[in-house]
Amino acid sequence: MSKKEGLLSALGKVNLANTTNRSILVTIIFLAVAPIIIPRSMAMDILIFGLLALSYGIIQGHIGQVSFGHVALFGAGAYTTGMLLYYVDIPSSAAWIFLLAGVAAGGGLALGMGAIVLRRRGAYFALVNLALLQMIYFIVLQMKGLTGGDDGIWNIPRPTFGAASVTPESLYYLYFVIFLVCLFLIKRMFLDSPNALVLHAIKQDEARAQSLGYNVFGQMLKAYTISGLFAGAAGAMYAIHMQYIGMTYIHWSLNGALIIMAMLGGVSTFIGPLLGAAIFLALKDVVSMYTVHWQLIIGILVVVLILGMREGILGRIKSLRF
Amino acid sequence: MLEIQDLDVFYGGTQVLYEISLSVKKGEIVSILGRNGAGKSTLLKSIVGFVPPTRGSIKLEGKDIVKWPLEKRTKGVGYTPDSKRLFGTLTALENLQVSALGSENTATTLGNVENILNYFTPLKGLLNRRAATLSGGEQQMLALTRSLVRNAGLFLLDEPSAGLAPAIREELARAITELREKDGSSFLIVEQEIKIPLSISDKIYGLLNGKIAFEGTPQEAIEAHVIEDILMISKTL
Repeated sequence: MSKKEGLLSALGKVNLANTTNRSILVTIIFLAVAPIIIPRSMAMDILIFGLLALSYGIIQGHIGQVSFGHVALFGAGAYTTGMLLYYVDIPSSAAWIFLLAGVAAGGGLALGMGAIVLRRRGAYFALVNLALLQMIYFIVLQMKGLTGGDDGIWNIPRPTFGAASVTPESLYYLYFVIFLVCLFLIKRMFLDSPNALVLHAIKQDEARAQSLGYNVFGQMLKAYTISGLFAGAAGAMYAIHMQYIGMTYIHWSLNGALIIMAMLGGVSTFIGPLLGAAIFLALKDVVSMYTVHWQLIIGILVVVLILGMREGILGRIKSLRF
Repeated sequence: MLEIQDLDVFYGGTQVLYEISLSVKKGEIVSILGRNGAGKSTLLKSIVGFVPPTRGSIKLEGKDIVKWPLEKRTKGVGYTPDSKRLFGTLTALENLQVSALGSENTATTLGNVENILNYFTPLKGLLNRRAATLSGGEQQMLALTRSLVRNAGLFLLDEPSAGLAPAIREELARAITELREKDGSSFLIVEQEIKIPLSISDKIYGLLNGKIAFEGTPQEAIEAHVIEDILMISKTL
């Protein structure tokens, strides 16, 4: 290959993180065998909240902002899918279509929220997100007849595979496949595409990116909306898995946990938020067997993390290796 | 190409530019000379859209762009700011890619990279280095390459020769004149350094305390002792 061809082909390619393939492979192998080596309910939570954390990683890692309203998008997916399954009478084998409705709801809400919140940065961005989340929380609470209010909605019927009902194992592996598709889509869009490079540049210097001809607001809104699609997917999956939707899905404390998950693993890395979700959920599960004060342990961990490893666990490992 | 009429610009309550009128025709190289604080960079920022003028018009190819959003103004413009403003955690190559993706014609812009790098040869071996790890001169070369690769009708260069070694400065002058010949591009260059502007410009504007104090050819500028007497720029710079 001549030098010129080499340069031109390099200019045509984007790969912001050529070191993540190994961690992605480890993740896939772990999640494939997770129901065998850890309790299945925990494996399922890691899958769903891992996806939610990855979607949040787009906001903090790629847009560069902290959001206190991200679970609104998760809730949009969960409530849309949950309510459709509960209220709409269609053949149960066709009800999987409601999963897609949840995805669309997450994306749709993100588009609306993004158009408002992306006009501010930093603490203001975080707080406007929180304000919108709280508004949604109270609307859901007030519309008791539809949403179940404080009680939520129980016994949501699950879609089926033809005449056969869905076993916990088959649901896990169906979700595993959905998760893999999401994982590769996120990687493709936020690490390996020209768009990824543009977002990275915007995150560093918005004004400079603008002076190179970029519509910064438009680019950010696109990323925020895509993040909403994946958060909506996680919510929809959770509603089907739990057969329940409730106010805890859109409570600010879940958003707090989400931020901790993402930062625990490391938002600057691709797989970090997922790793953080796994560690957080495992800690919660294990520690809460011994003490009801599991949050104290998480609290100590967060302090240690902020003081000692600002880039998160995976970020720290990477910085040690390279 | 670019026509500015009666431009007033304020920073807060302080007026920085007073009734600036200037024009850059297609294929013309125009330089604005002035001391530190004369308002040169502000003028470019005003054209790009960072500092909106309070009065006056800025016309690009006959269209008034004052109310246009920043990204629309800059699509077909190659702007190098004074503070370089590279994306530090991206590699030099990625910085060039970002510039190309934001330009009007990405493929053409990418195709220009090889050509522009021939002027700034030291950069060729550094393309995979993170921009933040490059030296000041290397960063300046990258910032210039990033702008010059864009197939722009108009280039706005803010102190392009700052931090460059003398040999590279000559290459820069060559790049500017050759791009003008090849593509018919126009250049508006802001400088404290006088050698390049006097040697390649078609027209010189002298800026003093936010006002245009001189307008003429480089020859007229030299004959009228504009540089030292009016603009008070030391020739030893």
